[in-house]
Amino acid sequence: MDKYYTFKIKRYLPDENPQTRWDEFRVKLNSIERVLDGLIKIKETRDGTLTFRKSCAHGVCGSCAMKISGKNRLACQTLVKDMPEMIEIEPLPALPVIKDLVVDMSLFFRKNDEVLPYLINNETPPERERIQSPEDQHKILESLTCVMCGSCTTACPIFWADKEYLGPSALLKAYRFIFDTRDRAKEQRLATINSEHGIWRCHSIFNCVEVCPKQIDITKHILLLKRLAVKRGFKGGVE
Amino acid sequence: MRYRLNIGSLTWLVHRITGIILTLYLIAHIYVLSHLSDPVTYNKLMDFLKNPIFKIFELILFAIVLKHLFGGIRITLLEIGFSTKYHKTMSYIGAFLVFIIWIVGAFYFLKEAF
Repeated sequence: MDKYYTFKIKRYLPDENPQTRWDEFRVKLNSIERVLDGLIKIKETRDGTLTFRKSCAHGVCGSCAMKISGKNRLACQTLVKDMPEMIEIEPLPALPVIKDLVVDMSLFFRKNDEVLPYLINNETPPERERIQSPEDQHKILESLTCVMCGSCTTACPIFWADKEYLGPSALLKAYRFIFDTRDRAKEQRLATINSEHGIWRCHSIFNCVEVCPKQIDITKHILLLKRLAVKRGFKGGVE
Repeated sequence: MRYRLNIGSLTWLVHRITGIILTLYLIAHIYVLSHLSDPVTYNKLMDFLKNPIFKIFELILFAIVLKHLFGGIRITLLEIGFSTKYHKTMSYIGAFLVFIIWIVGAFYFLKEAF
């Protein structure tokens, strides 16, 4: 069923005066089409200068995260039929905008680097792969599905106020390696997140959980990290 | 910046605001109490506070204390391991209990006044 939708898009054009303006485009879309299809249609047929990130268009790469109707979502996962007739599209909040819907994600990725998002294990590698039991795998399974789109961190009111805060995404990444039985750099990571701008800044607001396109219960993971840090604090750093 | 509120962020916002109000109230409360050294000024203040307008302020303060109390219980439950699946239900139950206790409390408050 075809229907007309109005896309109200917040533009940011650094070379123009004024730099910020709202543009409206009226496009006809099918009920099975997504917001991303609308944006592509606008770029192809109306205004070629409209800029946005997209890559896989199937909710795997996390490039097309943007604020759609007042909430961070992936444009490729949001069906237009679930949206109001007037769809408001803005770039992700709290990050510097480069152009239109493209934001500078370097701050976001720097926070991810802070928690050392890679496996550290200095033991002699076994002949084949490092084995992990299905039970141990299950502990980190949910955190593994993160696509690092940045929706959660930019939806967090604490991050809006404190740009030093690691943010839900980096903390989830920390969880993924701290609770990985094959990893040996637990102490280093715990020292990073157990700081002024680390886990204790999380106030269980659940904005990150609301927006996660992969339905990860991020707050649950941060609370588990908090409990681990408290436990270690009581036992003087030993488990 | 506009961002859609949901139950979690609304609960947090209410908790923050009531917390700030309670902090300011506590400072004022202790300041007034520490300046009541003789019985004459004490009785004068107590007569002044008998004004019905202060009964209304008291009821508002009672609601703020209750809301902050139940917000705190919810956060404590989450931190000690209560499932995050129920965080919305806990917000609703908290608000409901605040309402019930406030109604019952307000009855006793006003019975005392009239």
